[in-house]
Amino acid sequence: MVLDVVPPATLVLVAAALAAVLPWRLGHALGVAATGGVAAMAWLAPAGAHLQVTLFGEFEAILYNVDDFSRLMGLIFGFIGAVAVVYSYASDADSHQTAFALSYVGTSLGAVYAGDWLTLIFFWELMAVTSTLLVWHYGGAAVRAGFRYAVLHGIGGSLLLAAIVWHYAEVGEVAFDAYPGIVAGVPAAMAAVGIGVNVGFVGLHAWLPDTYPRPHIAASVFLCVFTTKTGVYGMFRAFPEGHLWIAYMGGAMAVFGAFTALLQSDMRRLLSYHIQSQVGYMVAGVGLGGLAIGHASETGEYAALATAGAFGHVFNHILYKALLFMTVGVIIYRTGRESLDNLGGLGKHMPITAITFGIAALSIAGFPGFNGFVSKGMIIGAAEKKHLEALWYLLVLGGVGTFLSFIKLGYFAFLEGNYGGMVRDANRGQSVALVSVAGLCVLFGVWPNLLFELLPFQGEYHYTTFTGPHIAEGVGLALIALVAFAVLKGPLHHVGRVPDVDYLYNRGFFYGGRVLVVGVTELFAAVDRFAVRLVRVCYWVGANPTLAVLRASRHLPQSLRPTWSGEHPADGGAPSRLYIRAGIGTSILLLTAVLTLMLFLAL
Amino acid sequence: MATYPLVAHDETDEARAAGRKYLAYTFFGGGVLVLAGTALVFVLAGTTTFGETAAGLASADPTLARAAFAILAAGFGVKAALMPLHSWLPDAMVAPTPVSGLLHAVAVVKSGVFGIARVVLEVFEPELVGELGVGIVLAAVAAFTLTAASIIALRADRLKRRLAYSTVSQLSYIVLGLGLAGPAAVAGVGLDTVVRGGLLHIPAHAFMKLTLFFCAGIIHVETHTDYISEMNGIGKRMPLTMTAFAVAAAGMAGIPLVAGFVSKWFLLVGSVEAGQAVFAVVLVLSGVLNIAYFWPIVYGAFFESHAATDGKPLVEGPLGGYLGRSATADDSEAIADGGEPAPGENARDNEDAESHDNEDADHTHHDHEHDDHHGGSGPGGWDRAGWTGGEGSWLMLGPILAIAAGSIVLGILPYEAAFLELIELVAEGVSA
Repeated sequence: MVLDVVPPATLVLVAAALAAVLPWRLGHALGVAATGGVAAMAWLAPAGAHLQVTLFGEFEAILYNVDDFSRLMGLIFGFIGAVAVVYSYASDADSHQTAFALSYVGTSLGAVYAGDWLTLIFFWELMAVTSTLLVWHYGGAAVRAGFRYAVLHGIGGSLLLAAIVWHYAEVGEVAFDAYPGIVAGVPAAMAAVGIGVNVGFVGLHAWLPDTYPRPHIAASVFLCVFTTKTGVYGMFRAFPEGHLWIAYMGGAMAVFGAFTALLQSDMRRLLSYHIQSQVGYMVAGVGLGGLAIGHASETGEYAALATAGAFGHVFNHILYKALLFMTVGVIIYRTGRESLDNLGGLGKHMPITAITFGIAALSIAGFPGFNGFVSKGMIIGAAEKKHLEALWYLLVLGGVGTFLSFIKLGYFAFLEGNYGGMVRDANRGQSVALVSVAGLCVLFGVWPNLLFELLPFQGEYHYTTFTGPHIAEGVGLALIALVAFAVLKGPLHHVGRVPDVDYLYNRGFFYGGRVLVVGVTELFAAVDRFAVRLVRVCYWVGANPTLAVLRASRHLPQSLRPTWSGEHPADGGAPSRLYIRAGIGTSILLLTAVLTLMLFLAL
Repeated sequence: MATYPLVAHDETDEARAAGRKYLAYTFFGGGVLVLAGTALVFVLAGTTTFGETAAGLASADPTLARAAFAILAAGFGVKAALMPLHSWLPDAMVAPTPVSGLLHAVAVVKSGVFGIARVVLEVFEPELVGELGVGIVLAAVAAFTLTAASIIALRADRLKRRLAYSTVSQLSYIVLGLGLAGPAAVAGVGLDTVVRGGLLHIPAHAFMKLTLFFCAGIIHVETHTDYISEMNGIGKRMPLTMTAFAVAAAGMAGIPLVAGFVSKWFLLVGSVEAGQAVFAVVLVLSGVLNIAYFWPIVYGAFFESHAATDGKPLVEGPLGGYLGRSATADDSEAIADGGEPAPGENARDNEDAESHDNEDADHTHHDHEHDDHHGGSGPGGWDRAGWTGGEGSWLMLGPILAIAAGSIVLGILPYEAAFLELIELVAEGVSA
């Protein structure tokens, strides 16, 4: 059957190639069809390893592997890809941009449907390339940001590659099921950091707010979905048994991202920090997903709950984060302004955008009745059940920050002040994209069982979404944030640009790199000059032997200096013949010196 | 001897100087050392037949055997452009581009690498190379070369010069693989893999670098542009050429789909298996450096234009580029119209930088050459040539696209493309 043979990635990659050359309308239609088709395929394709090939003559690779995890990723990637292409179409993205975007979707699909590490890294690196192209395509300041992105992801990808190579050297097979995760020790550390670049570990995250606000608004919608979520998926493959440090890193990301976001004025920059924060929850879920992490129940259900929560959060997050980038994109599309400092009072003019934004904001903040509440609750619940109080506090605190920053974004964009002049709401295509995704956010929020049916480890854990404490938690966080916002409203407006770690390491790389490059080139130029001078001197000595001896002899004591016959050449050059004489004493000295030297050499 | 006239073909002072240097390095340096090494091997082993010398060398005085290896490796290392014996190679790029392709991508440098492969695999054989401890030294020299050459390449503004340093760096991938054969043979694992990775990089590098040199050639012929700082927006004028360039450049950085990934993968696996993970780190670092010095050419070509350009990172321009700077100053208008650097000024700075590491070539000539060099897009920016081959003769485009396609075939199906199969035969012979 065709479902077993054709990897979804090929479908989208072919569509990408065609979209670049076909007429604009047709190309986009094909893009929607291909990505939508992928979602359908993900739904229908039977589990198992479908496309086993031998790569490079000896590596048993599985190009197309379907299990619960890759099915979930394929489903949501395909769906959101289709929505994003519709949005691109409505937002006047040109054919080439959509072609790059589709190639990015295709390579991400290749990565999540990989059944082995070699295929994964293959598509992982290609994903870095295609996303870079998507950023570059916008030109201007996005080019340089894209280059920084490319270098950082080159480093991350290389680390993961090194980890995989080491893993292969130890295990002898590349398939996922040959060994649970990446071999512990150095390879696992390298994999964590390499994947950590993609998921935005604190300290490695600065590419997110640096890159994502710069390209076209539709490009941002694609970007906010695929790289980081493929990263979470990769993290799970590398650490299926979880790791406590990774769990705490997730907690740190949740808090750091949410509160740094609070200080931002550029809307897409704010949302980018929230990617880090939300991915932090997923990373925490992946980190908790092992029996050995924290307090384990006898059935292992808490570990299953954590992993299922992580993947549920991947699924939900893709929905509401794409929705957020789309609504903010509509604002930028209609007003041409990127910063909250220059906006306000848009709610009256843009009701569809405002309402869908509200749904997305309540979802990401985890308000009961919206989808974020379900999956975030699962992760926080797992942290609680495993008795990891510190992590639990981090995750809850991150929730407060999330509420706060979305109250800020919504308040300053839609409520506060007045927008001078006319501004229209989202156009028809954009509205279709916004409303369909917003509908799903509510649907999965109100009927969480629909979501649970998609998640892995079905039936291996117990989780009731709407319990008193859960709802109290969600509403309580919102109330705390509302009060806090009322207090902090003034200071949070017009914060200005807040430097991040990239302020330091960009300078380090740039000036350090410059010093290194100039230093090395100058050193080699000096070595080369010396070598060339040496050769010239040798040539000259060969051409003027007597003159050379004459010049050298000036450094000798008087008694050793050569003499020459009187006939000086008329042109002032060297005499044609030299007479070297020495007294008996000097001769014996020289002879002894030579003999001693030879004795040493012989020994 | 046969390639000397090719290097000096232009008959300019610079070309003559490069030709002399080339001859001095490869003939007096390389040739004499190789002959001396061969004589020494004959004295120690009593034969010069490949495959039969190892036994004799194993029973000889280890110091002399090491000396023989060092002399032979240095002799061939001149042609393989191992640092510090590489200096002829960047200078020899004054030769016409097809010749550069021959010199730098295929024939001459690969003959040096081939020589080292013979020495390691058949004259000494990996076991002995490992026992004498010379393999690891060779690998260390290669690792140093591939890092240092990449760093130097970052600064070269003349495209062919950057390619030349990239060659120096990439050749050392091969030498690294061969050097690691020694430790791998002693460790008992990974010999097969490192040999495979090293040797596979010979065709892989040939395909990729030939693409790059041919691209440099067609750019020169069609637009008289030699300097990277003048190539912003050239993707409009030469889309197919620059696409091929981008593919080959990605391959150089070890991006999948292109040949470079396969050989790098084998080398990485082999170096870890042989217990020499530090060389894996060097290889990985080199991949990142390749991104740093090749990709700015690609983004400059396709995503910047003659007028709106940022200068290339690290060596020129301010932190973050001119455009990034104005964008942060004025958030609401991302595509700022200000902050445009004067391209002429930029180019001038680079030439100054360039002449530093080109000091030995005749300085006066270098300056003279710039006066009558009419590269770049001209004031109106690049013309749009379209994707159907309007950018140049198909006699040039055809080969470029064919070779670039070849590098992709080799990257996806290295085994089926015959090379890896041949290399397996070699590797089997070695391990047997």
